[in-house]
Amino acid sequence: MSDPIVRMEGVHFHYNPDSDFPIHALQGIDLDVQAGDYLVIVGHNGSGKSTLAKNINLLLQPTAGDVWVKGLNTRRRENLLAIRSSVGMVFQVPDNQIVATIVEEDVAFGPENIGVPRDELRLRVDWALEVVDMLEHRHRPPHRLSAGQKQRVAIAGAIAIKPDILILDEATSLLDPKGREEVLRAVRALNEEGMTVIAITHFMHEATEGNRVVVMEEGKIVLEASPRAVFDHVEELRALQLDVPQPKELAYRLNGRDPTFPTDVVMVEELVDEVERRVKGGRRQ
Amino acid sequence: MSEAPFIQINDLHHVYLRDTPLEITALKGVDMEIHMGESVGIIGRTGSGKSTVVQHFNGLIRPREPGKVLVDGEDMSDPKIDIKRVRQRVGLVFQSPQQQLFEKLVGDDIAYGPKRLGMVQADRRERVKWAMEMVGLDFERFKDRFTFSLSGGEMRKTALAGVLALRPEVLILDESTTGVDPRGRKELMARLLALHKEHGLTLVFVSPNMEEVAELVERVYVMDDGRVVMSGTTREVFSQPEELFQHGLNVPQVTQVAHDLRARGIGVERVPVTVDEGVEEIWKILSSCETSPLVSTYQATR
Amino acid sequence: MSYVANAILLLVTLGLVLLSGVSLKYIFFGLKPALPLIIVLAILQLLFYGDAFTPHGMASRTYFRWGWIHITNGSVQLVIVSAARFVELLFLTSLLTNTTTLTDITHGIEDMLKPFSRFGVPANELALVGTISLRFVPLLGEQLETIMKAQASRGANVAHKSKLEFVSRARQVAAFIVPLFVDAFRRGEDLILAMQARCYVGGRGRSSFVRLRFQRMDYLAYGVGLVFSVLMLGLQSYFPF
Repeated sequence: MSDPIVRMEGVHFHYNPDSDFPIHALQGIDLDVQAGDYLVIVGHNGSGKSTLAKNINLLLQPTAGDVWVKGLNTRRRENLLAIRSSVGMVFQVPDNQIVATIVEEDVAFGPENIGVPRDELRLRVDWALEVVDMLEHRHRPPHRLSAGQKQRVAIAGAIAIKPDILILDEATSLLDPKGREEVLRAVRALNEEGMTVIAITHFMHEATEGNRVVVMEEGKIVLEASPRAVFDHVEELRALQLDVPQPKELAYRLNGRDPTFPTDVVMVEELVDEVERRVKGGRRQ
Repeated sequence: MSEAPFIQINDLHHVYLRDTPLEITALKGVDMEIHMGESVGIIGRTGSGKSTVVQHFNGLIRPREPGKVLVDGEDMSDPKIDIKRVRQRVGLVFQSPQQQLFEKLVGDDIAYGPKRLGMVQADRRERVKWAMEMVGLDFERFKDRFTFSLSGGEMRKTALAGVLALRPEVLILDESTTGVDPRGRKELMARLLALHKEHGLTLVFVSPNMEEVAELVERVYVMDDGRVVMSGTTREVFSQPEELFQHGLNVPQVTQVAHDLRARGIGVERVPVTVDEGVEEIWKILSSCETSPLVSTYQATR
Repeated sequence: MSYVANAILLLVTLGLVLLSGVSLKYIFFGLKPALPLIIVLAILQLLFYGDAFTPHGMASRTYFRWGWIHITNGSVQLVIVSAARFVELLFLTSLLTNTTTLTDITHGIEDMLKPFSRFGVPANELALVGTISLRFVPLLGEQLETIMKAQASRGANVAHKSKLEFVSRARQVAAFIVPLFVDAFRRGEDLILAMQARCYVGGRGRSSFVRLRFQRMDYLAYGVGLVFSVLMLGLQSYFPF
């Protein structure tokens, strides 16, 4: 396997380290992210997942341990712009990250900051808006958009700097189901084109979007698995009060009554298939 | 439900920024009724008009002709109405209730409503204590804490207690679970259910999240584009998934399972809306095949 | 300061409004909130400016005198001319905001300030501050409305029996202002993070997406404006009344 695009080693982070009430938000994180990964980080508020994300693009710097992005250590100040322009980030509140009063001007904000020449700016802005399917709204003021649309503009703004990594920091938590689906579709498309995605969420069912899941609790990584395997830890997830997808929960409880009922079911369709197989198979006998 | 509804609205229309170039029609003729002791869900995508409707319930927005809003028989278009009393009886909690906190101490903030109602100190204290107990904040431990040093979850509880301290008969929650993590959501849902079941509080729950609605309410109104487009018991409404999809909504996965089974010719007696119901329904199907010996052993041991 | 000059100005302003195609209704609408100010100003000038000003090349005449109140030809002219100027200013402002988006105005100001950036004028930063204000002021307005509704739901904002309870009134205001500030700070912090994440490190080295180009019409407008100003100055000395 090639070198990871993000590597974290023994990362600790304290908020207000010199005050009477320091908060030990990250307590020794070791994590590698490979290029092209779609990593989902799940945890409750205060589990440290957002702090972890901010340590990747140098919005925060670890109090101990090291973070490398594309081989560049975040401790070195001269790496700042190189790292930030490799990592795009989308935040939770759609309104609080849109700077300009016209959609396309907002998307241009990032590339303007790194001095992209004007002719290329136009191309980048159009490309980014196209990816999130917002090109037709490019001349509209952001406040006339739905929350899902605003969040897609925010994604366009983040990818317009042509990053290698896109971090979503609870970017879907304030959206309604339709807005959430719009955003996830755009992210899926980006990942398929090779963008590394790190999605932070407290919606357990979004774990199935990725190829790797990390569960955080109290500043530590407590579970790490593939999206299918992570749901096999039903008891642990319950103890953490995280949601289990309903089909999994159903299968798990049916298995409690009939141990031959399989529990490796995550999607609705898999459960329906299984019940159908049993019912129809049964009739044939 | 033969008695008169506690809240009744008829042919309600509402336009924001009326007579300006920016005018937006939010409601296009809405009828609804809320009875005492019920728990009702109002669901719909963002911008469907659900928040505008509930703001009529406690007189934050007054109805205009031809619309009518009656709260316990009182006509809300009457400017002489005792609006303070209406707002005490119909409590409204907004999406991020943290935004209403302003006092330095938690206890004072919760006491704000009762104080505005003109309650005396001793009664206020009792109210605050009761409200804090209802939301799960320990009175002695939290009453003198600084409001702004609380965690997000504690702030939310404080804000909810601030509305409960009015001892409302109806509690409206306008997307109060949006952005809350699953742990906080589970606790909030359990507290609300207890208030409804044990204290007879009438609940109006506004949400786009179908799983929550299924768990909490008995009856729903579905809104889209300023109108009520579906209504009935939760089960009735969830039995029409195609129609819900058209309005930008979905059904809980467990309900989807039942629909898909039916589509494949496997009869499900009653459409489940919660996981508990789903387990029972699927178990009924599986045990009716009588193929697996384990099914009969399970039944024998019960 | 002359009637003739102001009459011409008023006519030209109205002519511009007609040219722009903006409905006169909207233009007059913009006048409404300023009307009380204009009236109060006129009354104060009439009362206190009696002898302070004499029209150019004219003898001072007193129309009315009662105690310390003098009304002279000078003060009457002052009242009429300042009211007219006020109205013209408001008309032109409404005209600008009705034909040009605030975003475009901000970009225009940035471009106009750009030559001064070599003298240390932070043109880019000023424009960014302008843009961000344009974006966030309406959001804070909405926020205030929500807060007011939330507090009203808790019994706030109901007319008090005794209007003299200053402490309780101040508390009422605190119920709205404190949450508003908390919200504004939170948004500010969010915005700083979002801007940093998008590589913002200050105005230097930024390219710009929006380019305003001076076109023939712009030169024409500047020219006409300049000629008109010179004419008006000249007019003033010919028609001092």
